[in-house]
Amino acid sequence: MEDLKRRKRLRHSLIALFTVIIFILPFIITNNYYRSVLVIIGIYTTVVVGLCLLMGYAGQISLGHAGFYGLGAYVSGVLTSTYDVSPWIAILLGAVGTGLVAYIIGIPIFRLQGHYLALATLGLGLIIHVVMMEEVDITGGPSGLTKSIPYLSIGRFELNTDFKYYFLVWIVALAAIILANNVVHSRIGRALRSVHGSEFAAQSLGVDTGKYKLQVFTLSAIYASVAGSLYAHYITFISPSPFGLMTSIQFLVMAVVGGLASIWGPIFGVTAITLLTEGLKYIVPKMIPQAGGEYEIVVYGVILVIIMIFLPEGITSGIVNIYEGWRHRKELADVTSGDK
Amino acid sequence: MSLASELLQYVLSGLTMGGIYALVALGFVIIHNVTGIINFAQGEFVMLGAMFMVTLIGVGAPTPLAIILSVILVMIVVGIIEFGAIRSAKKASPVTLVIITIGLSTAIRGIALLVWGTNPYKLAPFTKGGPYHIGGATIVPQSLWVIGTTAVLLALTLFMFEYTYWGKALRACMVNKFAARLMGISPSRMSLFAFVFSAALGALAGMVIAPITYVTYDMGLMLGLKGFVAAVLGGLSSTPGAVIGGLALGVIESLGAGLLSSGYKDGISFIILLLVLFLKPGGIFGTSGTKRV
Amino acid sequence: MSLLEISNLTKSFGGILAVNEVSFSVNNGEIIAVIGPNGAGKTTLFNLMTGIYQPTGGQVLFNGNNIIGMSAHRIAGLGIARTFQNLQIFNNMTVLENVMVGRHTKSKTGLLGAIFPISRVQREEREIVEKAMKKLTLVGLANKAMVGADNLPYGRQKMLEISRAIALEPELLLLDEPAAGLNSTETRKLVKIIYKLRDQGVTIILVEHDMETVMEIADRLVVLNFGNKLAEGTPVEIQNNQEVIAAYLGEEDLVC
Ligand SMILES: Nc1ncnc2c1ncn2[C@@H]1O[C@H](COP(=O)(O)OP(=O)(O)O)[C@@H](O)[C@H]1O
Ligand SMILES: [Mg+2]
Repeated sequence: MEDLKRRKRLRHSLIALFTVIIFILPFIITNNYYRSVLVIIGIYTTVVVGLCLLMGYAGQISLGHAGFYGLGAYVSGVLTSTYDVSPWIAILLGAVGTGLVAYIIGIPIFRLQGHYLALATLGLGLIIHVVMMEEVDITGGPSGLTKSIPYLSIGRFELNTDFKYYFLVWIVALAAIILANNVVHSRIGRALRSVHGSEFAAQSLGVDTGKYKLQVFTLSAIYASVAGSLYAHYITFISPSPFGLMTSIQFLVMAVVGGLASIWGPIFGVTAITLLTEGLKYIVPKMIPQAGGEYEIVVYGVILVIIMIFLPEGITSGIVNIYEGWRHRKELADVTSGDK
Repeated sequence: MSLASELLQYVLSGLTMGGIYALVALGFVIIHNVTGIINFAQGEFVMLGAMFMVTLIGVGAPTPLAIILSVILVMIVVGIIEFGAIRSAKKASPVTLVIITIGLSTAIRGIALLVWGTNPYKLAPFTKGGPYHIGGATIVPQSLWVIGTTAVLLALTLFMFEYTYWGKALRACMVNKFAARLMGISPSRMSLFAFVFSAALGALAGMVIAPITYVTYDMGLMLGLKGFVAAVLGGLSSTPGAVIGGLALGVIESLGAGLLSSGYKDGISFIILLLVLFLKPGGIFGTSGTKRV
Repeated sequence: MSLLEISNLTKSFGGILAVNEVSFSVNNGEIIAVIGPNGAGKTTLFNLMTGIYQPTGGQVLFNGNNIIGMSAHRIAGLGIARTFQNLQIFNNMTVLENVMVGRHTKSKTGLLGAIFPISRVQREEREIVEKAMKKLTLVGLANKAMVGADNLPYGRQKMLEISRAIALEPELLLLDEPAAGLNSTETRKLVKIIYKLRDQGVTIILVEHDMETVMEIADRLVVLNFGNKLAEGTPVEIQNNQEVIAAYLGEEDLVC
């Protein structure tokens, strides 16, 4: 019991330390480009935390999270720019609407075993993208919204710089992490983990597996939607292109790289992949001038395959495992040498 | 055009696309039955077939040679992939395997983008002539090629499963992996065989459809998704079901696009998927098995 | 009215009749043993009663309600708990957490409560831990609460499954070969636990091959053979039943 409490304390102090670092960072980094990268990392982290919850605890894959992200962005963008709805209310409406969409398509899918969700969400993501392209009157079609989206403001205080927006984005991201962590350590989290251990035993103990998977899926869609709204009010202009399949795959790669069963995984995965993508944007055109389109997908695909074959628990867990293995060996060595 | 001939037109073009969906669905079903994997890269096999064909025709190869070479090339590529990626992850959980096939499909699409670029390619029909007129509707000869190829490949697949050693071994694997191993059939060899066979089906589908649609590096995405919908319609484990599902999906989609809205053509298949999952989760032609405790 | 009434229950797999027109009933507070050679259909019977399998025919009344067609988790909610012949421990959890899952139907925190753990939720969580620890104490595993469940030896994993099942506070407990693989000390302990549960008012159906134990603790026995019910009665009746002796008990080696 003592051990349990000590571990909990350690976890809490780590989170506190991390929070401090997060809030000091923008004072140290003054370059606007780097600050904007940090804002984007915060936004993506919110999405990926939800995705990790879905994959790591409900054992399901979504290829449609860019769609939910886009729904949030478009609901916020359209309502605030065209209909003058208050941005905060628009974010809320986006979250509720997106959650509803996820819930409704989830109902039939989670009655089934297997990996229907991945393909169903792939389809859903494509449809959402098509709607953004086709409903020109509402969305502006492929070229995006014509009116600009207002900045978020708190009272009179307008969040119109990277520096100011950074704090909002990271407060949301940290809240996302902490709330997800609550879920993991709750009755629901336990129920979901038990399904991994043995689906039959879980059912025989009264766990309605489909119900909780559906709830977590809905929660993760809401996370994505909120992140999308934040993105819309940050860039203040949206078009369909950042919400396609490519982005869904990018989220998946981030989740997989970070590992699914840790709260630190998403931050690490998002940071690593964002930096890699930014680096590629810089290097590839110099090396292959004719490279056009979304060439990053090669890298994403290869990363997915390699990580899944060699480090299926993600890089962070992989490192932890290697470290634990090393420590274990060291302890064994200590014990045996003590015997002699 | 009268409504009747218009409808006939939609049905004909629906059957053409439906044939392609059926072939993709067949690939899904074979791999799923043998290995339990839903193979996200199935659509990419179609794209690869079409792209190799375009390239070979481009360098002056005669059509029959180009077809044979392309099929062999795709089979080799997929064989290597199965050997290198799927097999190395043998003991992996189903989630891991699904992510691996997602990664494979993404990587293949990306490599195709680097090799062939983003511009669409057009391929000449296999034979000249036509279009033919049937009851007020027209059909191009290439559509007949598609329908004919589907029919031949379907017959071949059924024949293989019924009469050849490999086919019987595959079926044994589908029914019971353990018993199959007892009979001396190696499931990993069957997995390789299932992948390569599905690759050939996909590649051929890509080649016959190429003259009708444009060939692009990302064409596999939609075809894969619709092939999957067709497979689910058919119950995900039945070969005849996959074919019927594919043809049905093609016709419904074509009618829907023609009569309702063409912008949402791709949405129709997805709505059908959801409806089937809502109303008849075992698929229209499917049966559900019992897992053992 | 009896607690459980099984009538004409049938399950076929393809052509195999694993359970064929089996009927019997169980009264409150009884200990019933289901015996029969391997492949007789005992486990299938349990799977039918707990909603893991759907029967081909027949019905199961629990407290007068037909539970056929209900999903496994709803049946658990009604108060039927079980253990498995092939252990189904949650290897990805600690011993305590395994039993805490057993409290699932007795607690109600939903997703919203999980996200925002207000004091009611925290109180419930503490209750879950307390109750789970009690059940662990009952089977003698309290000192292993924080250990990963996969680190327990086989015999203790079986005990863990029992404590997890009774955490549900079931009216009816199904034990599928609880003594298999246990040594004689562990078996004695098991018998004591079963008696203790009976004294607490739990009705128990168990599948067991160890005849000595079965004859000692069972109030009544149901004998299955090739899916059919061969006989039913008190231990003495069964031991003197000619048919049973011929088909089953007569064989010298009782190990199946
Ligand atoms: N899921 C299943 N699929 C096919 N056959 C099964 C399945 N479950 C059990 N059986 C068959 O049903 C019969 C009874 O098995 P079971 O109930 O496990 O026997 P017991 O528990 O009495 O040893 C056996 O012939 C077994 O092979
Ligand atoms: Mg059994």
